[in-house]
Amino acid sequence: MKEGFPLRSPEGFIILPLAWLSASSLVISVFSGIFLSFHYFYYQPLESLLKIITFVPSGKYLRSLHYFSSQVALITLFLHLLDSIYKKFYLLKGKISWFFLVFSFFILLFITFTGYILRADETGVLAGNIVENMILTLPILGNSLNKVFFAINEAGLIKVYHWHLFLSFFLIAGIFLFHIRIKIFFSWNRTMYFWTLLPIPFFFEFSLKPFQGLSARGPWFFVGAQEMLKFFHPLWVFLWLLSIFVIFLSFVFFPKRHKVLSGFLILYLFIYFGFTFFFFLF
Amino acid sequence: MGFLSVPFFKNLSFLSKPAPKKIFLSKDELSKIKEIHLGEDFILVKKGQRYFVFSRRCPHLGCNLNYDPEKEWIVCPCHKSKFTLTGEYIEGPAKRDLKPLPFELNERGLSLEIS
Repeated sequence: MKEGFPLRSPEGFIILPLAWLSASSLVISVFSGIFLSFHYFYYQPLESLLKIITFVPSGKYLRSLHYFSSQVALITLFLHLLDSIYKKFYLLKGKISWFFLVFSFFILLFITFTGYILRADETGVLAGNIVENMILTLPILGNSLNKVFFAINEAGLIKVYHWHLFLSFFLIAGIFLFHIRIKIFFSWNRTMYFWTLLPIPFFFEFSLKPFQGLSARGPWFFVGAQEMLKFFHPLWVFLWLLSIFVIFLSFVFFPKRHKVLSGFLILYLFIYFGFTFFFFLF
Repeated sequence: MGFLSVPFFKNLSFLSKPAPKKIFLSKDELSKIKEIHLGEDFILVKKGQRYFVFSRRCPHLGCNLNYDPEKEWIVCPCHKSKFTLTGEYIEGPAKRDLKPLPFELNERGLSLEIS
C-alpha cells in the first residue's frame, strides 16, 4: 500500500498503530462531542451534564465515549511524538510540518483541559480557577490572554466552550489536511481501531467528582503541575509547562544536538512524573 | 497610533465585568450558624458576637476553600494552604491572609457584597 511518506528512518519503523489509534480516537471524540453539544449549555454546565447522563438517550455512553476517546487520543499522540523523536522522524519532515505536529499536541492538551473545565464539577471549577490565576501571573500578556481564552470569573464558560469546539475542528481539519491521508485512514483494515474503542466505555464508568473535600485532584495530566504549585511560584510553573514545547521544537532546529535534547526531555519527564508520584504519595 | 489602542482595548474588557453579587443572611439564618458557614463565594465565621467574612477563594490560585473540623482550619484542597478561622495565614503556598469582605450587620441580618 502506498502510504505517501517514508515510514522508515535509519532508527527503524514508526509504530503506526499508535498513530492510527490516536487519529481514530480523535475522530470518535469529535463525533461524540457533536452529539453532546446538542444537549450542553455553557450557562448551565453541570445541570446540562447531569441531564445528559440521566435523560438523554445513550447520553451516559456518549459522555463516557467522549471522555475516554479524548484521553486515548492525548496519550497516544504523546507516545507517537516520543516515538517520532526516538526514531528521528522529524528529520524527514520540514520545520513547519514538525511545528504543526508539536503544536497539535498542545492544542489537544488544551482541548482536553477545557473539557475538564466544562464538566463544571468540583474538579472542573478548581481547574478553571487555577489556570485563570496562573495565566494572570504572566507579565504584560497575562491579562489579555486570560480575557481571550478563559475569563471564567467574568464571563462564565462561554469562551472556554467556544475554544473547545473551535479548536477540535481546527485540529481534526489540520490533521487530515496536512498529516494523514483520508483515503488511507478510512480504509476497511483501519476500522478495527474504531471497533476496539467503541465498546470500552460500556465497561467503565467515568464519574463526575462533585465534592472532593479537603483534598482535590485536578486532571491527571496536570497533577504534576498541581504538586509543583505547592512549592514554586505559579509563573515558573507556567513557564516550565511551556518549556517542553521548546524542547520538542528544538529537535528539528538543532538535529546535531539530538542526544543533549533527548537528555533534557528525559529529565523533564522524570521531574514531572516525579512530582505526579509525589502528589499521590503524600 | 496602534499603541494608543492598547489602553482602549485593555479597558474595554471591564465592560464585560459582571455586576457585584449581593448576599443577605437573615437574623434567623445567622442564629443557625454555630461557628462557620461556607457559602458558595464566601466564608462566614462566628466568634462569640463577632463576625468575620472572607472570600472563599484561596489567595494563592483561587481554589474554593474548605473547612477542616478536626483541626479547625480553613484549608485549600488544591495546594494545601491553611488559615485560621480569623483568616490568618498558617502555612502553604498562599503566603497571604484570606481576603476579608466588607459586610453590614444590622437588626434584620447581615448583608455583603462580592465584586
